[in-house]
Amino acid sequence: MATAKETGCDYRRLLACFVRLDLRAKYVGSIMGWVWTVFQPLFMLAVYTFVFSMVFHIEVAAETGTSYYALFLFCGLLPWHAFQRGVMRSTGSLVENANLIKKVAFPVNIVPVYLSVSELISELVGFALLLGAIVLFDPPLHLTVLLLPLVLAVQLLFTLGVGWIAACGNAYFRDVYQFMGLLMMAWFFGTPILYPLEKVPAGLRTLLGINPMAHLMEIYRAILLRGELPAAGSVAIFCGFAVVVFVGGWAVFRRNEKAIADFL
Amino acid sequence: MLAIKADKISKSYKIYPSPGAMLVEWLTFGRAVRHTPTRALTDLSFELQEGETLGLIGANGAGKSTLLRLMARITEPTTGSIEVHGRVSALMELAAGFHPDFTGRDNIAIKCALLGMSKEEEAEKFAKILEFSELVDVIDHPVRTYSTGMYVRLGFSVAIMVEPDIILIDEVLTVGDQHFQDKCLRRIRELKDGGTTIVIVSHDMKPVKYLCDRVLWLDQGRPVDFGPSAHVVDEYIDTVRVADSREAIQAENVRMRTGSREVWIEGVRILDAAGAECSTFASGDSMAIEIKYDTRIHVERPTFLVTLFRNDDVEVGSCSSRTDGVSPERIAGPGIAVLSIPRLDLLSGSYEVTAEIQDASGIRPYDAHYRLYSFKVRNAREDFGICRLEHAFRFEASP
Repeated sequence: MATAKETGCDYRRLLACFVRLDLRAKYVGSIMGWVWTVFQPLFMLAVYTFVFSMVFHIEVAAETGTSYYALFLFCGLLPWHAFQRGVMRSTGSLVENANLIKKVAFPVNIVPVYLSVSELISELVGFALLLGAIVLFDPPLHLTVLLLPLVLAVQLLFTLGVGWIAACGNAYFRDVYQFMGLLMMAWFFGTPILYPLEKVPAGLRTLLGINPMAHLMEIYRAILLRGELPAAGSVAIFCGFAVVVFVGGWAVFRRNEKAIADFL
Repeated sequence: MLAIKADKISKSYKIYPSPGAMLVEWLTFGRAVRHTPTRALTDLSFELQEGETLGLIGANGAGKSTLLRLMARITEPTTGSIEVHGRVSALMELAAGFHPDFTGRDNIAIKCALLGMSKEEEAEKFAKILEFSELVDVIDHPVRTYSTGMYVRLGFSVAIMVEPDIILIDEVLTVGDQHFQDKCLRRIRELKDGGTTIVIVSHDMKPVKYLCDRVLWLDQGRPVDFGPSAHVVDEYIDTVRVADSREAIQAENVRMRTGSREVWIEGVRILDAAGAECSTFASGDSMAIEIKYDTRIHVERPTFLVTLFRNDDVEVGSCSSRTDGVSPERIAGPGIAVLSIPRLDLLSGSYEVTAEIQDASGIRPYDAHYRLYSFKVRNAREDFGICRLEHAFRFEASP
């Protein structure tokens, strides 16, 4: 495995190429193509809304920023899905691309990167829908929406860090993929996505305080639904986690990438 | 200028019986050893100058591909160091990175990016790549609809059109049909003439001999020979031939001595033009085979017979005093018979000599030394086969 410099490889061009490829791979050979990218989050949203709003009667208070459960849910579900899919696809990526990694000299760390970026871009389609829905059902659209790219960038750092570590682990032990599947499910329910943080009993709420994704949800809701600057505490905690995990993940990946090329 | 310098490189892999075993070793910080070390390369040093073409040969598992991967920087040596100067393009797995659902055009873009081409470079070379691949009609079809040959042609066309400083080629010369292979060889030749440093791994000795300046012969991760390509390839072919035919030879026990010994052979010497004993000849040299014999009785018209074999059991030819009609009238004591071959037009290989003295009819052997003597022939030219035929070409334009 070589770094970009060693192979004379244009990292950004390769990344763009991989991302474009991955996005197109989702609909190549299908009739509806891009329509699925729009339809999928909408359908998922409909199902969750039906179960949690109409069956379980979870209601969101105006303090969360919206009285529409669907908007509240969508706002959390989108970033979670980008995170989860980015991490899970990264986890399996080295094993899936073993042949490429063993036979072609290219910066291997790019594999989790392009997967995470690609998932983030898919998320953008969902965000466009979300913003449209806010304008339509719960105006106004707040100026704080301009902070979105910044939040997405930090979220990408966090996703990459987790993805790199899990990808390395899975290269050695395939158990990691199974474990990550379970971890992601638990993490999903342990993050206030389906329910507002206010519904959580006070004792448990402090526990959720150490979950970086819970803070990310708060940040998203603040800027998209409430039109406020996110709480400094949430920003500090999430950014702190993101930077530590990103740097740690990079270090782990750099340390192991040569060994993995031999091991796969 | 130096292109590649390997300094005592070794590469070993750890093979674990199961992931659990690896975990045990990790958790005990390597104290409970659970792996089997496997050496792919041992203490290899060599230098390659810019513009040189190096061939890597050897049996499967000799470490050729490992060495190529080290040069490509896909992996690092366990000990020692390797320096590679310049931009490297490695053609190892041609189809690696192809996405079957995408069109040939898309896959060219992917491959170009993987090989490190810039956008401008790709745009500039696209037409050339397409032309070389001969896939113009199907370039907008998904590559899963391609035949294996088309697949490989696509991969090769991209890789061969990159203009790197160093190009590494693993076993890809044997892809595609004859027409495409020839085209690839020509293109590699062009790159070579243009000053590109090339490293080729191949089991097919013809392109190696044709393209390479020097050849490194590896066996079980160690260098056996490193030198001018014709020399090393000849040695290699020879060794492989012996290995292939050794079993057969042993089974038949062909190296032996038989006969009634009324006349016996005291010794056989293989001599060069100057009359000195010699074991290595160049094609076209003169050679003499001297048989020293003795007898206690009178023998009428004994047949002297010399037969040459190549070491893989091919009978090259025989020279008989009986068929030549030159057998001596009678012998009655010690003497020598000399067979002279003015032009030894054999090609590179190891050869063995059978020397026999038979009765006048050529049926009953007095003494026969089956393939007990040997010599080598080294030929600097690129001819293949057993012998060089005396020949001449003539060219005329048709009226």
